[in-house]
Amino acid sequence: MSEAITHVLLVSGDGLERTTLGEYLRGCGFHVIEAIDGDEAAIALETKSIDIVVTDVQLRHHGSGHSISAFAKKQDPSIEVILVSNVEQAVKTAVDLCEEGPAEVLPYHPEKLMRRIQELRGR
Amino acid sequence: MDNLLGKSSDAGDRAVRVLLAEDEFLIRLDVAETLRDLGWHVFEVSTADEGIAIIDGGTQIDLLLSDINMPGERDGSDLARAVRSKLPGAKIVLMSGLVRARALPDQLFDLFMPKPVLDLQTALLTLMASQVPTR
Repeated sequence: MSEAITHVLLVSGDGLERTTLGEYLRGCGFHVIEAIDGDEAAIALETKSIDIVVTDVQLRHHGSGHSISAFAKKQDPSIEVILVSNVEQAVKTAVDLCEEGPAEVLPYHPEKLMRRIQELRGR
Repeated sequence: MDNLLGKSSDAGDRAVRVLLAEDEFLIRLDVAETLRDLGWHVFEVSTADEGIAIIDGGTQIDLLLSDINMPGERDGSDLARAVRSKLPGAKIVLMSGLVRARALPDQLFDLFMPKPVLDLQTALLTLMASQVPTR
């Protein structure tokens, strides 16, 4: 049933990375909405059905993973956020901002990320 | 409502919001970039089920651009019906390489584009600038 499906908002400015990870997560049974930056993410977060946000820390356009995380938590504190980054310093910053949740470092393993989502969803 | 960057998201002073539903990811990637080149905001989904969840969740869009045949419980015509029902002001563009426009109810879409889709930007800019449905 649709009530049991986890809805993931996936934010990345890298189209191939976003598409590849999105297809993998769909193959795991998640519903995925793909956005390219903070502006699109903010609009997508208007929907009441987002459970998990997976976002790059650094985005090529508007906003950052940190600002998306803060916005998501403001919209709905129950939304879980996973920050990913290929820049070690950005990950350290994310870890320092521990309220924003744990970070995965690129190149991350999609299976590991999938398990992390399942853990956050209590499965 | 203000968006992430503190800008107003009221209709009239914001970018066009597009829900793009296409299961062929290379096509989706290309179409999404084409739309973003116009300065529009795009939400990409791979199935009608994902798109319907967004619409049911209350996200406001101005344009649905959807393939018809996609995996999942529902197809692009179901997604179009959901948008018509929840967001009657939104424009709907359906794409397909298999289904013909005449096989679909007229009220279900504003524009039908057979695949391969050509000159997408011009077609969508014309549609979004018009108040009269274009078929």
